[in-house]
Amino acid sequence: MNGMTFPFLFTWICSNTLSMFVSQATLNAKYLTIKRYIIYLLVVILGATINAFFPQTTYIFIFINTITMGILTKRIIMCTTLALIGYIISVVYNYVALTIFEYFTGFNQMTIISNIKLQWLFYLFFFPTLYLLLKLISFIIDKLPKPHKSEYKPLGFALMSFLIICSFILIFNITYEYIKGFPKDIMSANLKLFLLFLLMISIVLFIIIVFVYKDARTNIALKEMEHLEKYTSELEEMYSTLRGFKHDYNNVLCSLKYYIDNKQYDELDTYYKKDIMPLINSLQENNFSIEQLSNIRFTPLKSILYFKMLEATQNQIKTTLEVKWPIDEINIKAIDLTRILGIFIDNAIDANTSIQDISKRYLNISCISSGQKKVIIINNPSVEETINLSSIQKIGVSSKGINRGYGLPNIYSILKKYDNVLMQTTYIEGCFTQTLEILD
Amino acid sequence: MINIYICEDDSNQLQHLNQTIEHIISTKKYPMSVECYSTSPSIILDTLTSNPNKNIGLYFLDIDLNADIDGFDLAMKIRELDPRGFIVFVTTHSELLHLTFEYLIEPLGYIIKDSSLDIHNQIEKCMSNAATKYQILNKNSGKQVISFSTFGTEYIFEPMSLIYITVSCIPHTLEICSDDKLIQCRGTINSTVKQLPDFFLQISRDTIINVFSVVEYDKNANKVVLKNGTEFDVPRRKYNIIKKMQNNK
Repeated sequence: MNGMTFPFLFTWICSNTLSMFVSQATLNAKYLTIKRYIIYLLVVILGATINAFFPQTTYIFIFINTITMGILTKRIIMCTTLALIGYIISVVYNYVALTIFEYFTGFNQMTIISNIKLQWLFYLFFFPTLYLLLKLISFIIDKLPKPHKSEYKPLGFALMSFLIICSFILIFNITYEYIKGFPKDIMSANLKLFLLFLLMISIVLFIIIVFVYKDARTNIALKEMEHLEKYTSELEEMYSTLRGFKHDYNNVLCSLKYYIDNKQYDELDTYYKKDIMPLINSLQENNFSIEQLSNIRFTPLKSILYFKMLEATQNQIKTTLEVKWPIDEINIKAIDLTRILGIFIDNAIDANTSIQDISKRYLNISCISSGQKKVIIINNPSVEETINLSSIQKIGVSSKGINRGYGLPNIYSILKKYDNVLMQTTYIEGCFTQTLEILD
Repeated sequence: MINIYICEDDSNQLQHLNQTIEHIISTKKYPMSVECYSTSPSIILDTLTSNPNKNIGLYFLDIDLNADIDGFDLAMKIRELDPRGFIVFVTTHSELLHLTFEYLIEPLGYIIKDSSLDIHNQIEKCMSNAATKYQILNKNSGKQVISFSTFGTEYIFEPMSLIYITVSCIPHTLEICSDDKLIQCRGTINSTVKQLPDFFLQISRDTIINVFSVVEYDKNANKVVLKNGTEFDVPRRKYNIIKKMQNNK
């Protein structure tokens, strides 16, 4: 802007800084600390000052600000996307606000741009309303259902690249037309066209996101169905072995009667110890107390427990389940419960498989419905003599050595969402116990 | 003195249990006496509620009682009346719900009614266990304990076994680390620090440590290392306080 006076320059820098700051920081407010705010503000002021003298640097200016936001918050995808959304909204809203301002004050755009006092008056109206608008949008974003991290990464990438392209086209369009000195009506028509395009693409993108989200849900439901089918077939198998036993049982009683009739008590004694005892034991050992599962009426819990216990028995781990009272419902999102228990039991299986002596492997699970809460306890042996309990929550360190048990930090990030769930860990005499308490 | 209560629905087995227990008391000279034995859980409860002397109890309970409540419910009721009592479940393998019992009742032990196992031996073990615990309990009756409650479940700690208490990354939640436990409970640092003995020191806005668990100072890095390997940042001026507190005892 050659030939610009100081007040104009000052206004330019101020408005540029403010619009950047408000549009990008408001949506990211919850990830920013005071220190981060200050650093970001400094970067923006520096950028805006350079930009005031070299208008061609607008692109670089926006790019650097957006990336700074991502780096500062350490959530590059999430925060740069939010920053870009904020920026596009502010550009669009700038146009809307200018129209409104024109309508109420009766000044035309050119007058406003050339008059500093009017410009400041406009900004006095523009920035507070922009801030409120962004706060509202941030509130709405918070209320949206959050998909899973794994589902959400590619989506985040797609959304971000789309937004980057859009914002650059928008900025290019405006600056190019401005520099070339296009007539105002063509500029506004162009802008309207572009906004229409943006709106349509957004709707398409939104529909795609909804579909991906639904698809993920259906996949989970399908998996659950699969587990339940396996469970049913297992039950059927158990029933048939039980029927087989009933048949054996009659034979056993007949032979017992034979010994008693013939008063062969010594033979009876050996027969009992040799043949009957193993039969009773084998019936007790036979599969992991599957009948206990029938007490769980909360399908996601039943499904994950069944699936994981099957996996444990396949790893030659003696697995038991205790469900004394029926469990109808648990006050936690099914998907979160499934993830937490999946991690707990995976860790327990890992700890077991590193024990060479198969007779020392065990996995005990108990689901308790007591008073106002549900409690799930998972109990397994551990190889190491002592465990630093406080280090197991840190990434990469677990009771099973480095590089395993990555799941525990994930559990923490899930638990943050709930105020009715607590996790307890105990380690006594080689026995490791995880307890999850969920208030109704 | 320990009062013994026995509940078993099969009267033959009840007689057998009672005789075995009486026999063990007389041979081992334990400070115990059989207060009540019955096939009905309600009689046990009535005796317990009407009993004016607050002796600690040792309870042998069958799980399958053929009554309106089972041995487990009976144990829950006994826990309310005699929170420190010793409970022993007499049961078959198939009825045993180890983790569930452990969490809700904390029984002293189990007697497995299995023809292959010697019942007399099991009973004797439980009784000697109860006798030892009873002695320890009497000796420590004056000692202070610290308890934290998590949704109604009480976790009791001996003060020396605590290592640190810190604010969790989960909102409104504290993490309490002891020698063998890491528990989460609702609470604030400020209210917790008040109920702790004087060898606990608040080193920052969100952490309290047991000064006797400090094993290493790193004055240059402003750090302390605790006995389980956990590290905490400590402001420089707190070092001298920690040292002074350690020397005081």
